[in-house]
Amino acid sequence: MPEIRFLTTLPDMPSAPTWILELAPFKATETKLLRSARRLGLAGTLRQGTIEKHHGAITYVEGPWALSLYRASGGLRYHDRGRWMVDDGKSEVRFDRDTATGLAMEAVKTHDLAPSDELRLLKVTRLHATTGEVQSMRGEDRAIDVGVVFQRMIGGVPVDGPGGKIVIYLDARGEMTGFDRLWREIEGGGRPVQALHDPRFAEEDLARYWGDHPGRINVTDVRFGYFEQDWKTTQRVLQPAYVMVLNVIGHEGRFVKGLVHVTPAANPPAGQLMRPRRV
Amino acid sequence: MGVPRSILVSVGAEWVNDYGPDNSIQYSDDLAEGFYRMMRYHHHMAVFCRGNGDADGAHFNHPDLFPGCDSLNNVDAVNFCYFSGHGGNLTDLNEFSIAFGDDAAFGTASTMYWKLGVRALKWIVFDTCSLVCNAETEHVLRSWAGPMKGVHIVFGTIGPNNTVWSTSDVGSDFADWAGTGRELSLSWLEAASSWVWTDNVPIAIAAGVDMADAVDRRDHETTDWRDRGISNTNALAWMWREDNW
Repeated sequence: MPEIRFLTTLPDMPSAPTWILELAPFKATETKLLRSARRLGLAGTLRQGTIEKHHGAITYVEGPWALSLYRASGGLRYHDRGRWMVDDGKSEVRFDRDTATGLAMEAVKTHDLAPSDELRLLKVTRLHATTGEVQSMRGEDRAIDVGVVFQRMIGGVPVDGPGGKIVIYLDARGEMTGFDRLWREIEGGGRPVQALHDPRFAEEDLARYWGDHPGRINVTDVRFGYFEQDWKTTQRVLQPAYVMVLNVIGHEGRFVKGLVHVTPAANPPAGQLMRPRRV
Repeated sequence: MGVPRSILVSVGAEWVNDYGPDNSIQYSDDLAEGFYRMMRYHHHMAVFCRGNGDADGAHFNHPDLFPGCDSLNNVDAVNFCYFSGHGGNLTDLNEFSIAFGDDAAFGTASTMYWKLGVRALKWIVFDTCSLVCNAETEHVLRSWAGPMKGVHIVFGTIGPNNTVWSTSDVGSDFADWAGTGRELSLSWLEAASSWVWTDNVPIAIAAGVDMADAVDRRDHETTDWRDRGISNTNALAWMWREDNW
């Protein structure tokens, strides 16, 4: 049995009603991709642009703009390849976090990425271009873009995981250089969760998953919410889960590996969320 | 099939999941093998891919600095290498180390014993915790300017690296872009953006003979820059996404 230490407290038993939500089946096609491009203001035709195929996604490129549609999830990535995460050598973000959030929210509305009452701000990131000279040990640091991350909310319950996220990227002038949108479509009303496991069930599940691993695991965060999978995973239902952030400690504390453990919270669950542990 | 490139690079990968009975981890194989296979798909030369007991610290340490080791015929025998497993840096020591399993002849390898890029190596990913502990100029310079002896760019994370099944495609995603001619730093930061929910902070550190050279490499280098040598690492330029402003 691993030694499991909780460096945080378990959340209270969730009180908001939760659902098992059916997700609309998705098939990525060039037609859908071009239609999405036109909705974003591009010409969206094979005369004005070209199609690229990558593993997991098809991409339409028109001028500097690239729009990728992910086959398994319907996720969209829309970037100006000439400006997204590109440094001009001198620009620096000088507006504040609240301004960035406001600009990003406008972009969400302009491009109709999600209803504003179905998302909340998760965090704001900044991309830095930094230098250092060996002899002087001096350098320069500039924040050159901002990535504002919004989290999906369903009935007041947050959506955890890689999905249910919209990231708006802004350059130093506050102009949008792109967005990432991983937000699967819900089909129908779903069915209410019959019962939720107590948060302590997540602790028991963690111990079961790690079975006979005799090492030490520190749990640094425990969250409750729906769990939406990543860009390349096909997902049929959205269900609530407990998400635990862990550190696996090895080599007498010198090396620490971060992991995330996800336990379905519904009883009974609507399928697995994590891959089985490979021993 | 993959997109043929004008310059093909040689590729190697090492990974460790099995650290003995008290400390196994997961997905190191997915990450490193994903990178290796995708680079091969894009027509680059696949040279070695070793995991668990076949991975060894001796493959990273330079024989001049650690007798009995052989980086010149291992990581420095390929242009592009990917390591996934345990790693860590200590701010007070400015020393990055990676760890190997109990079967390894050398259970750790450390920047104290590295001369990366003296032979063939141009780019290397350390998909581990703490390539650096923070992005402060002195810490990054002291940690990496010394070991970078011709290697162009080192990729990794700042601080903890949380690995989950949903981020186990980072290696193959990185290779899908890097292996088809996109800018390497951008490719790493984009691949690692799947970490947005795990709070990982990706970083790409480029070397240069002077500041302009390092910045140019950081912002524009692709695999087609394989043969643009660096005679001395006099400056570093790095790009990283701060996770929570």
